[in-house]
Amino acid sequence: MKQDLLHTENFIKGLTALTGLPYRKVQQYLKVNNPFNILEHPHILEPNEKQLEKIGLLNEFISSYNVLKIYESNDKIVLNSSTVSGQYFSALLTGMKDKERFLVSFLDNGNNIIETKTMSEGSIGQTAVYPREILKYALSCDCNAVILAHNHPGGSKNFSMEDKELTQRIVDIFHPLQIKVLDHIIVGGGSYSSMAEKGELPNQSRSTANYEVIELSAASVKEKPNRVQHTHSR
Amino acid sequence: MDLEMLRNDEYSKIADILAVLIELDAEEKEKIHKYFQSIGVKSFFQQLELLDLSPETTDKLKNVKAIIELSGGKRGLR
Repeated sequence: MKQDLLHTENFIKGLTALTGLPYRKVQQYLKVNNPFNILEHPHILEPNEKQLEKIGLLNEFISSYNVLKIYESNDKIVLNSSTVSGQYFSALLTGMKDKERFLVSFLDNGNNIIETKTMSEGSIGQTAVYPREILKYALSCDCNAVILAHNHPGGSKNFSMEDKELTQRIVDIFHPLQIKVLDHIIVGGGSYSSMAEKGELPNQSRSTANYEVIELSAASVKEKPNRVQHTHSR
Repeated sequence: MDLEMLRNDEYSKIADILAVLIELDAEEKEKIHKYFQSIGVKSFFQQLELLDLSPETTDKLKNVKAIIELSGGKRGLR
């Protein structure tokens, strides 16, 4: 308990020194709130432009630090939880502010990354995903599972209808081949959402495989950010 | 996938972010980047007091350390 208080106190000192947010305001807020609310919801303490920029940098730093912790602790990168996957893809996608990039990690049966590929990249709302290409890589590396990820340059972490449709289309292709789609991570606004964690990941084919190109919609760019509320273990 | 290349790219990226965040000059940034490459970021923050950095930079880095020390929460396991 004492240790927690000390960590929180150090957090307040660190955060206020780095961002310029007023100490008393942060201290008051943290009496009844989680410290990370300030980072996850940067506008919550009504920061000025400079303070907001520093909070953004701090979020980028944490993302990068978390992925380096993974790199440094394993020769192989194991995506064995939505947290690790979220941190991994956040580090790869957080800096993409004016582009959309769609990544796929191909995993072995221990959830070790065999390879992570950029499957598509384009300007906002003009990114096209080619399911046939994803299938080609999956078969060539003999993977057991895949994790999908893309960024929303507008900052939204919500899954749009198009994101859900895209995931279902990939499941329709991979499920009959016994290749699992473990998650779809959306990175936006310095944080991420996990479709699996939210319980929205399809786990069954809904229709026959369709290899037509999938356009990532610009609609999600305009959505308002929404914090992940539910977590669960698999 | 070349893990070493990914790691090195990430070291460059995190050094760039840090330089803007705590307003480092080019020399100090380069020094920190080299530390990252040689001992890793985890050890860097663990051994902060032992490193050859200016007291001002060390103080700023302690503030960063205070933030990352609290950011270790785990979400759903796969």
